[in-house]
Amino acid sequence: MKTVYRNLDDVFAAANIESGASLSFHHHLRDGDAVFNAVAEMLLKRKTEHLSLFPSSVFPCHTGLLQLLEKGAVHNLTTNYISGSVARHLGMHGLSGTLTMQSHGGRARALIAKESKVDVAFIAAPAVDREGNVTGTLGKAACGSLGYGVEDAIHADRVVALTDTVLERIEAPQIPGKHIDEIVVVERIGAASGIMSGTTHPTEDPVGVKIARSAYTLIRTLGLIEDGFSFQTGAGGISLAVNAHMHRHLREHHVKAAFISGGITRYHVKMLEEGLVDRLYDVQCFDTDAIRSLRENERHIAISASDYANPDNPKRVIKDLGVVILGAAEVDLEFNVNVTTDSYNNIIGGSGGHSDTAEDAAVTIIVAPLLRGRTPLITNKVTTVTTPGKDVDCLVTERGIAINARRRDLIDRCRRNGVDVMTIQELMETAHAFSGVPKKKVYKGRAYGVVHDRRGEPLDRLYTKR
Amino acid sequence: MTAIVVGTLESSDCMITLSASDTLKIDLESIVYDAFHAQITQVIKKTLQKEGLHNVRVLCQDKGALDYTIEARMKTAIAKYREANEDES
Amino acid sequence: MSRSFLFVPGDVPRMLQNAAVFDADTVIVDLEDSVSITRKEDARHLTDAFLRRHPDATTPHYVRINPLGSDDFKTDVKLVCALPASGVVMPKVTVDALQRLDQLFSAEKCRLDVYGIVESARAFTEIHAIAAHRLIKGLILGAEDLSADLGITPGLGNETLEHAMASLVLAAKAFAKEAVDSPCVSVADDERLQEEITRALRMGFTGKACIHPNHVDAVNRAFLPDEKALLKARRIYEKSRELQSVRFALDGEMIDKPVIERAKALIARAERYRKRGPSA
Repeated sequence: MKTVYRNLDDVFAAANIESGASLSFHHHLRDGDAVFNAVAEMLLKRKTEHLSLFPSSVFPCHTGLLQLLEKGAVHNLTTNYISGSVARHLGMHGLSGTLTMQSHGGRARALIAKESKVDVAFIAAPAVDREGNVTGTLGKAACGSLGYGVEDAIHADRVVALTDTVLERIEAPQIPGKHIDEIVVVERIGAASGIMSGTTHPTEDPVGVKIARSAYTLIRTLGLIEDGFSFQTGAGGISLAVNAHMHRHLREHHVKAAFISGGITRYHVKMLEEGLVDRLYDVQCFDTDAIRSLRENERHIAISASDYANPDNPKRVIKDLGVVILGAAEVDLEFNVNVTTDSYNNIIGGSGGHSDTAEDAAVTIIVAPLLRGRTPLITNKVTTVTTPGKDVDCLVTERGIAINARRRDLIDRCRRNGVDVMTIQELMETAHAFSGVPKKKVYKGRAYGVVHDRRGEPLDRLYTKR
Repeated sequence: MTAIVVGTLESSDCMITLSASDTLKIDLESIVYDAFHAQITQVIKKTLQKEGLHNVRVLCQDKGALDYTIEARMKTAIAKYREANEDES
Repeated sequence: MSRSFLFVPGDVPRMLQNAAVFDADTVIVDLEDSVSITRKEDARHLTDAFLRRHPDATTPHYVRINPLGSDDFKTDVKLVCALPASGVVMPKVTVDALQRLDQLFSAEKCRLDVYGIVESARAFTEIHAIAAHRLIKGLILGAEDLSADLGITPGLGNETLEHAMASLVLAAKAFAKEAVDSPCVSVADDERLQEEITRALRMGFTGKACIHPNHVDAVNRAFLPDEKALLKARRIYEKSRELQSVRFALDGEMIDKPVIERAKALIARAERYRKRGPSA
């Protein structure tokens, strides 16, 4: 039986959390997360400073982080993705220490290798039993897979599970009780509407629909769809539209995929239930159908971030990945991709699993509109490198497809099958015929951040806007 | 003198407001200011020159419009501005 | 000949500049129904500037002008004559309207192809003269306005509407013109779109108009000859050349001249579309 606390004050006293502490969080409650803010409130109240924080992602709801930043209480911030007001704050003011932008696989590796040393991990736990066993598939704030919290629980010095649902007994927990030191029962750990904020649909925007159709035609032309292949699309609107084409193709041609990995939506669940894919390897659920499926279907398997994408883990799922579909804010002539900042140096996200899957997948396909308003996708040099060009194979836009010259094999296969391939330079010029050539403003304020590849090697730096 | 407003604030469009002024004055607000402000200003100036309108204040609120849109909105605005101000005089 | 015709409003920059990316065989920039009466001038300026700066070499761009009798008719015709546009789409087409257009063309020293939108009961009383007119490249059915004129609800299975569709196809084919079906107005109803496409094919239409870019691909694929039919057409054509005959048996089926002619037309259509490429 674990100690059960009723408030965070007692936990802070017991765990001796003070200035200089390193604290970690997972983001499975997404924009409905109440755990980070509850902890931040304690940190503010106790006037702690010089903190090192490791939230796996930061969402607009994380106003507590913004307050800590405004007070200058955060020294280092290590995360995989940032959106909302925190992104704006960092772009303007930077950080006294370092912002480290990791990938999902890289975060898991760094925790395991103790490069990220965490004093206390706060695990938002949708359901906990008296032994501290944790699952994400039950409870008031059920969110499905807890993939990004598993390594925190195993490797942090001390682990606090925050929950609003205590059950008698949890079979097959995602995080076994032996890793949990304290349980805190609070009113609620998350708001359902915010938890489902990742919910997306296949795009109906005509440009997106066109891009998805071209991407599917490319995948088919390259002969990548065959029995036992695997793919990952994530939950972006264009990606899900590609997924819809794949779904139809598998059904019509009686092909069965071995697995789909990564973030899982109802659309992937449907393919599993129709027998079109053998397994779903789920590192995060995007909607209630995915959560239900994870609870009920043994072929729908929750995996940890390490089992998903850690480069040091030989059993990682994505090393067998055939095709991955990814987005981009910018792509440059070397095929480097930026999903961390926009062309005006505002933080808009981060790698998540972008650089992980791009490196491991046999074929990496970027889908993105060639022009967003007047801003061209393709630049001479990306504002920030999130994923290096060596790991990127194809770029599909509404006005044409470019393939990395490194992949002569793919270019030849396209040519042989009558699919037009442009050079990325030609694609850029096509965009410029509409937009004009953008004047490149160099954003070199103060360097306050670094983008890491999943082995912890720096790929690029982040600069304040002025 | 009557001010004229044409265009919209929808994506890829711009809203042009023309009003009386002693000298030519161009104010530009753009979501792509850093990358394209010089090019946008150039299109506005050229269109005014071509249409022979000099004493006017132009406010361009740009939502990522391409050159053709800026030129077209300017032309419509100038035509309507002249029409309105002829009626008055 | 075009399979798909995509209408885009002439006053929406976001849609205008992307009109050519959806693989429509023909783009129709609209100055009529999708542009409100107060914004006709805005639309003309925008269409003018767009087509001058971005003349699309790969996709023909037509302009739908306002009808004869409207204040904008003459201004629109003048504009289109000065533009790098492939032609004119004329709403509410009648023989009178075509003659008036012909006169304006002469005055502007311009000669453009015209698709006429047949959308009134009256137009059907002179449909043959319209189809026969030298300016006319094809007829487009305007099912919505026609239905309003007839006091019927447009939809699948309405006998009067289908009678009109058949008349349009007969007239167009009689003068070797294109017969283009009315657009599907249910934007997100794929089933309805498919039903309309199937009917159009069955009735002999050569293409279909679209008011939503997401409809273009289905139309393109449907009006592309399917591979099996194409294969058979090729065999028929080759055998007729080999035998130097217009009457022979193939796979136990009697082949005669009309069958061979149809096979040749199918092959020609496939060749034409192949150059543009099926989109999926």
